[in-house]
Amino acid sequence: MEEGKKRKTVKALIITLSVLLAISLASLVGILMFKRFAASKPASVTVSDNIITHEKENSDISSAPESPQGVGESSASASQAPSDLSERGVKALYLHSRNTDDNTAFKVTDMFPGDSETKYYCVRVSHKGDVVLRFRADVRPGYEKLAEVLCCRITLPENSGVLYDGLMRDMPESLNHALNTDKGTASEVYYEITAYLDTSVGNEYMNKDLIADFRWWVEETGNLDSPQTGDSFNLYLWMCIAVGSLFLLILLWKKRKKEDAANER
Amino acid sequence: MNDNSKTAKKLTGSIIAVVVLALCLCITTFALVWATVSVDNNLFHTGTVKINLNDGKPVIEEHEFLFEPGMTVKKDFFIENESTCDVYYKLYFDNVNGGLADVLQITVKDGDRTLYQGTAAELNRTEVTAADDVLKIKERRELTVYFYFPADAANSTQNLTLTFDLCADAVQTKNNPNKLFV
Repeated sequence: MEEGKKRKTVKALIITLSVLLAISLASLVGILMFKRFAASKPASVTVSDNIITHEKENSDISSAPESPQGVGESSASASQAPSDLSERGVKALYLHSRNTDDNTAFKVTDMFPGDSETKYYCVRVSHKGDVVLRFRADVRPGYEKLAEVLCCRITLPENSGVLYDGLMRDMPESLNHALNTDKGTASEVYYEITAYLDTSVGNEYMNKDLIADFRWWVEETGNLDSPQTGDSFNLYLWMCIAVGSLFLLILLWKKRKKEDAANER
Repeated sequence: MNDNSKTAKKLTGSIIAVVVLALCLCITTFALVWATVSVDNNLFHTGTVKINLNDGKPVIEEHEFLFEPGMTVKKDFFIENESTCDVYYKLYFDNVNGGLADVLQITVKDGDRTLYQGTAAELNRTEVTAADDVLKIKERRELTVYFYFPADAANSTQNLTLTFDLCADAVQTKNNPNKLFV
C-alpha cells in the first residue's frame, strides 16, 4: 500500500518536473528566437535612404547630430526604432536612435577617390560600474582588394576624440572607450564613422566592393545592468527553475536507487 | 524490477535533458550578458571610369587616301562616356610613326568648336590637356578629325607615311577640380 503511494508520489514529481522542463525548454527556444530576430534588426532597419549615387557630391558630414535626449525618457526618435524597443527589455547594450538616420548600415555606391561618407551610431549601455565600450569594424573575407585603400575615421563627437583614422582593415582589435560610474546609469556614446577614399587611389580599385560589419561590445559583464522596463520576463527565474529541477531529479534518482538496493537485499 | 528499470531510464533521460537544458541556458545567458550589438552588411562600392572611343575602330584605314599638297581628309568618330560619373577627357596620338608626323596638320573638332590642333607629333599624351567641357554619364559625342596636307609642303615630304593610335583618357570630375589625369 505504502509502496504504491510512493510510486504515485514519484510519478507526480516526474510529471511536474517534465512540465517544468518543457516550460524551461520553451522559454529557452523563445529567448534564442528573440535574440536571433532582435540581433538582425539593427542592420536592416532603414537602409533604403542611404544610397549615394553619382548625382550626390560629397557626403554631408556637417549634419551634426541633435542634442542628446534625456536618458530614460521616452522619445520620438526612440519610438521610431522598433528594434531598440524590442531589445531594451533584456539587453544592457543596444543601439539607440536619436535621429532617423542613426544606426543604419552604410550603402555607398560609386565611390571615387576623394569621396567620403559619414554615418552616426548611438550606443547605449546600462551599467552599474566601470565598463569599457569596445568597437571594431570587421572586413569580410573576399573583399581584400578594396580593403587595401578604404579608410575610415572613428570619432566620438561628444567627447571630441578621434579613436582611429586609417585603413579599415588595419583597425586594432578593439577601439576602447571607458565609461566610468559607481552607480547604476545608462550611458550613451555617439560614434561618427566616416569612410573615405584618398585622392591618390588608382584605377585598379575601380568597380570593387567591400562589406564590413560593425560591432560594439562590453567585456565587463559583471558591471552591466539590465535596464528596468515593464517587461516582467526574468531569465534568472527560469534558470533557478531549471537548476532546481536538476537537483530534485538527482535527489529523486538517488533515493530510488537506495530503495532498489534495499528491495534487492 | 521491470518498472524500476523503466523509471530509472526515464529519470536518466530526464536528467540528461535537464543537464542539456541547463547548459543551453548557461550559453544563452552568457551570450545575453556578454552584450554585443552590431550593424552588419556595410557596403562600399567604388565607381568606374570607362570611355568608348569609336568602338575601337581606326578613324582612318591604311591606304585609304593618297595625300597630296593642299588636300584635306575629314573623318568622323565618336566618344562615349560609359562611366558611372561625369568625366573630363583628352584625346591624343600615340605610337606615332612615319615622316608625315610633323607634316600633316590635324584638327579635332566637336561641331564647330576646335578641341585640338597640331601635328600628330605635337598632339601626344603629355602635351595635350583635357577638353574644355565635361562628358556626362552615357553621353555620346560625335567628333570630326581633319587631316590637312599643307599646300606649301616641300618635295621632301613625298612618299612619306603616318601611322598612329588615336587614344582617349578620361578621369572623374568629382573631387578633381584641377582636371588631373593621374
